[in-house]
Amino acid sequence: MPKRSPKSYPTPWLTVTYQPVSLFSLKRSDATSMAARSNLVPTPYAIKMALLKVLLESQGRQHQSDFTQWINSEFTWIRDLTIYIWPPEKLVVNRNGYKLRYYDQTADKADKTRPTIPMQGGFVFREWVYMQGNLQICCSAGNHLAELEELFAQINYFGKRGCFFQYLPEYQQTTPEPTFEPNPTTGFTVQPMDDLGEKTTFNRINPFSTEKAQLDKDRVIKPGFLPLQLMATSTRYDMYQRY
Amino acid sequence: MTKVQFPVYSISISGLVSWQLHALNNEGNEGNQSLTRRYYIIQKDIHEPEYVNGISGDMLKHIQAEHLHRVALESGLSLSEGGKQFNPDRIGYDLEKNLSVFTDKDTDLAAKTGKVIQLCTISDLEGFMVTEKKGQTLKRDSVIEFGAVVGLPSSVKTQSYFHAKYGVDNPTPYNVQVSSGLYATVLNIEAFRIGYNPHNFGYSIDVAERKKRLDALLKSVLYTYLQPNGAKRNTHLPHPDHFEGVITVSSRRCPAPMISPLEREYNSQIHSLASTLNNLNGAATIHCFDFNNMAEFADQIETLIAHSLPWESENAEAIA
Repeated sequence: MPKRSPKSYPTPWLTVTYQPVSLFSLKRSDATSMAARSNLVPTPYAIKMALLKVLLESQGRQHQSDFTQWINSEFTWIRDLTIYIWPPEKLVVNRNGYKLRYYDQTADKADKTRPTIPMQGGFVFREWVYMQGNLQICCSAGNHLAELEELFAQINYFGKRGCFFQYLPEYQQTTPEPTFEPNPTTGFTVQPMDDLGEKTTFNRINPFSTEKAQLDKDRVIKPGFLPLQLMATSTRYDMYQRY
Repeated sequence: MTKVQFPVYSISISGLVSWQLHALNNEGNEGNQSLTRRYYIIQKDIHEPEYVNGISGDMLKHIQAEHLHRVALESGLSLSEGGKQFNPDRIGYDLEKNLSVFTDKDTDLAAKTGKVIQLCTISDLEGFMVTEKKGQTLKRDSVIEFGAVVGLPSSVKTQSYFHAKYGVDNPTPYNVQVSSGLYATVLNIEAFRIGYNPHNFGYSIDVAERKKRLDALLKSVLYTYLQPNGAKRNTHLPHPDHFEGVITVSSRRCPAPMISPLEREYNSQIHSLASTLNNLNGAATIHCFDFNNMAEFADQIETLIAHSLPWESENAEAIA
């Protein structure tokens, strides 16, 4: 494994804690929408998108006149955050069937004149993760500590909508060093973790923009090491426990 | 009596609901056996996952959308043609049929989204996604979201019953799984996003119209629990016999607290969180409305309809 040069991160670090409220589901980057295996925890990409959403909702109106300039500078510091995720004590990954509406390829090819893309209903595979215990997120806050605290307090879901997490204000910590870091010497489970690319821009990430996001440039997928051990598995579930 | 009114930024409901002898959500068949939806969850200090019956959040959302459709028609709220017919594509139906929705002036996303919000209550509240082939994708997130409804491990049971389908020929035997028990349910309403156009950070409809939509939404939530129109109601209509929990409302930019009733002390935790959030953000940020049965739940929804105003940022700044 190639050695990584020691990188210095801006202090302080912010650690926030969320209590899972309902089942969690977030499609892995390498899964299709028809058989969507779930990430075990929210990824840095999902967390940054959640931060971006509450930022735009809470402050966007005040920056309509200088929106482009404002969002580019805000996006830059959010993009550059380093995020570590500490999973809850136990997780059960449920395998469930699910009804979903999706692109109707047959109808689309049959009639080229349609003004919109046709949809059809069907049955798909989904995973739902039950979490026992609290989820922790550790962030390199740097100069944006106060703003970051405010943004995290406004988040109540990660990933798919309806996957609620309750922010727990009493557990918030500010420390000069991260409260936890991936430690491959202990046991771990590998999960692909997607994150924003180092040089990506808001327009690339914006789903309403005409610019397109490119894999490995704007959205980067790296192996994440989660301190989770697979304890039990069956046709219906996998159970993980934290080391 | 002076009516006390407060702005509503978001609303959460955390509750325990009891449904007996229902088959509201199923997950396919194995031979002649229909299978209920099931989830495995873990409780503290117990090392094996426990199997419980559950109902997906999508089923609840669909039930609520059905009720909203009826409330919107009865109240005369603005609907697209797709919305009037309860078409799953809502405004997308109008665009697909080339009905006149946009004018030549509606060229950018802000204008198009604004027009959709004005035209269709259901597209505003329930969300939509349309991919126009010659334009950009139009989409909107739902204002209301449901978590999966999950049975309490100690208080839920699934049984299998034999049935025969009688027709002209010989009867066809089959088995149906029917469940009873206490279920944890959570939902969230981002009331501030009613009528909100994210492309220009403003509201596309006035506050009176937003209030009407919020009231219709609250009614539909009440009806969702009064009459849960899930699967197999023809012969397995649920017996609802209990509903307890907390409705929380935030009047500033702060999510209304929500804790899963799978946690035994969810009620006191919610009140504790509300107290903490009030200390952090100012008194009267969070209001709690407790209910101990279905009738009290209906009372609290009525109270909310009577006293709530849709939140707008000017109001919030004035308060803070």
